[in-house]
Amino acid sequence: MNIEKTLIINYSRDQRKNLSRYIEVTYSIKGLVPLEEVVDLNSDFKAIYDGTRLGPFETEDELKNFSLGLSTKLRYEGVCLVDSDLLNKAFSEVSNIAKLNQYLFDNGEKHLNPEPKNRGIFSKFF
Amino acid sequence: MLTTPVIKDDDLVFPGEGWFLYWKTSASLWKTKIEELSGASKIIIPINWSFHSDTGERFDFANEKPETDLKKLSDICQQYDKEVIFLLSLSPMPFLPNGGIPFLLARNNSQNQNGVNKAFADSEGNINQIFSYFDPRIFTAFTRFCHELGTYFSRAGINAGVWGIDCGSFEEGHFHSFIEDFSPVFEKGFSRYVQAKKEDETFASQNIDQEVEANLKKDYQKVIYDLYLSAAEKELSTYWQGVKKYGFLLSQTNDIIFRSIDHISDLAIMDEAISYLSHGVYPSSMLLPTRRKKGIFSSFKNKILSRESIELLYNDKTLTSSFDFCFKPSYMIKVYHNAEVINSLNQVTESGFLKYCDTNFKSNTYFSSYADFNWEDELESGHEYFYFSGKDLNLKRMSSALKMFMNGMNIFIDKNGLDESLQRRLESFYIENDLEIERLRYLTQIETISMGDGRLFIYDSSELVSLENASQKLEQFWGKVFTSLEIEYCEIDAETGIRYVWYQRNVGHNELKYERVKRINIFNPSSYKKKFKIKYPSTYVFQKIIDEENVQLTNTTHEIELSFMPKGSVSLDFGVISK
Repeated sequence: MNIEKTLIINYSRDQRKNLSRYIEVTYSIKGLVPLEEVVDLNSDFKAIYDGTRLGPFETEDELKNFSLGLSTKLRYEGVCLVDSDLLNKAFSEVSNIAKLNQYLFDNGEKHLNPEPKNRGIFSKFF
Repeated sequence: MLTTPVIKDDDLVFPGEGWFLYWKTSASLWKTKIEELSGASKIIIPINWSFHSDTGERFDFANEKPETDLKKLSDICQQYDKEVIFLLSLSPMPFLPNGGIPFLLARNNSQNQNGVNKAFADSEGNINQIFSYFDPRIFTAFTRFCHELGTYFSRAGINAGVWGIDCGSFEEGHFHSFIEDFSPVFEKGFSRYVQAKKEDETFASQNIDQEVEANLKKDYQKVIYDLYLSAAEKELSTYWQGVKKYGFLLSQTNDIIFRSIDHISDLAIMDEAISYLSHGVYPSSMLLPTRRKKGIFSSFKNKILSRESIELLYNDKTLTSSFDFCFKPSYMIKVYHNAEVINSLNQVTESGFLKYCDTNFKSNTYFSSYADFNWEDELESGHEYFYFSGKDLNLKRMSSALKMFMNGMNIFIDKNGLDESLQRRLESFYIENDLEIERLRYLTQIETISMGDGRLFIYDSSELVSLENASQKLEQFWGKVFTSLEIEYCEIDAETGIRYVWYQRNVGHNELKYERVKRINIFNPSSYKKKFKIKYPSTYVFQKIIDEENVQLTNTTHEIELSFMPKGSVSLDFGVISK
């Protein structure tokens, strides 16, 4: 996976809400994808947007599937999920913000978008 | 060709707002640097705890490193007629590694509510983490440092005051001190605090829901902050001057990520600074990358975070001085709130008052905590309308509000949540002063009283909030209220992205035809052309346009239209004639 074509998603677990997962920031090294824009992309997301973050996601799979759907829609190659433990580790181990995202990309949980399904008549032959 | 900006030594040593970072340069260069600093009469010197003590147990005040010689520094400043102001932080400082604590004490990270460690990027992009001030070892070491510092000041004969500073950021509409922490260390101390509170029977019988718990955490935080404050006050007694709040631009929760992808804009930085100012917090540009301090932000900084503003910040309010005729931030409306509880502005927000003010008198509302409330200060403050929420009022505060009204000021009181005994007190105030009350009903019960220049407007927001189509009706309600008050204000029609801040000053003996002079500083931080129109009332006399940068002005009777080019800015002065 290429960092330039990866959507980085920072999330945390809310200790007040049964450790549910919440997306805090979505971005790539080319720029921020504001959560408001994520919500605009799909109005179904409004239900899980509390004004500052997206969630709750009860399981890791739920978060992963949501993130991959988002990355497909935004035409990234895949996602890199960064939880708060990794972010905390990065703050300790990286001395300058110039190196922060490479560290998160190297150590985050990366997933490629699922292969697009071929729907054409000859799809089964290829 | 794009090149990496070269950071000048002066940017590191004098990062802005009059601060001098003495540990960033050799003591042998102090004299030259301070001598070159023209114009500033005050030099603000933040004391770097970790620079004087790497372990928390050994201290260096001019013993080993020459740069720890604060006496020499103070003498050099005085030699060049600069007043020295030392700052001692009562909370972590985001521009220093480990928040400025000795490295041996940096063990327990300070965390936000989601378990993320608090970290900031300094002006060069270095990541600084901060550590929990709820760690008893830090408190013990801090007390010891204050003691050593006080002893050194006294022994060396340093003749300068020390101010405490509370560093923080602006999140979700409120200032949050960097002492705020939700790490396991905080939680441990907090559970002991709750246990101790439970020994009180009335507390023990209380149901602790999420809001109560959040407020208890805020109480506990204040208890600990006050311990740091008392330690500093006690140990530096003769030098201690008080506390100032500093809000660090680009220190909000996700700013470190935004910085890493260069997602920062002049507009966002200005908005942050304007928010700080409207809450009585002085903005610090210390964390801004050097290149961000140039261009439109530089114009903004020169006007809003000017040398005069620093003079005013540290000027004793009981002394009259030449700064009486300096421009000071001006807000038409002042909202008092109880900053010591969470969501303290919810009621006034729900009443629609803030939204109306923001739409119609943008950048004209100031928020103040009751901790700073002294009604006599308001007589000269220049605010025109004061808002009090009933639930925050006690007898003393309400009496003060009524005294302000009796002194010709305009007061709003929302009766929602007002204690019954205070309601009775209000009734007896009407009778005792033989006041003529106009009672009417429009969406809610309203009482208005006029006396001299003063107006008392009392209403109950609880009925307004429960209305159908509340948002629209609230807009109509406040529209009618402000129309009835016959206020004189400038109607502003600004395109999205334009920002402006009002200032005012007293008049000198040669301009006595005016009551005061108001200045509006207008900025277009965007990369687009923008229009701005200001329609001013007959009591305003347009005096002059100053500091024009990339802007054109068209002036007709009582209306000025400005056409801004990208990154343009300008200031307009108006003499205000009394009604």
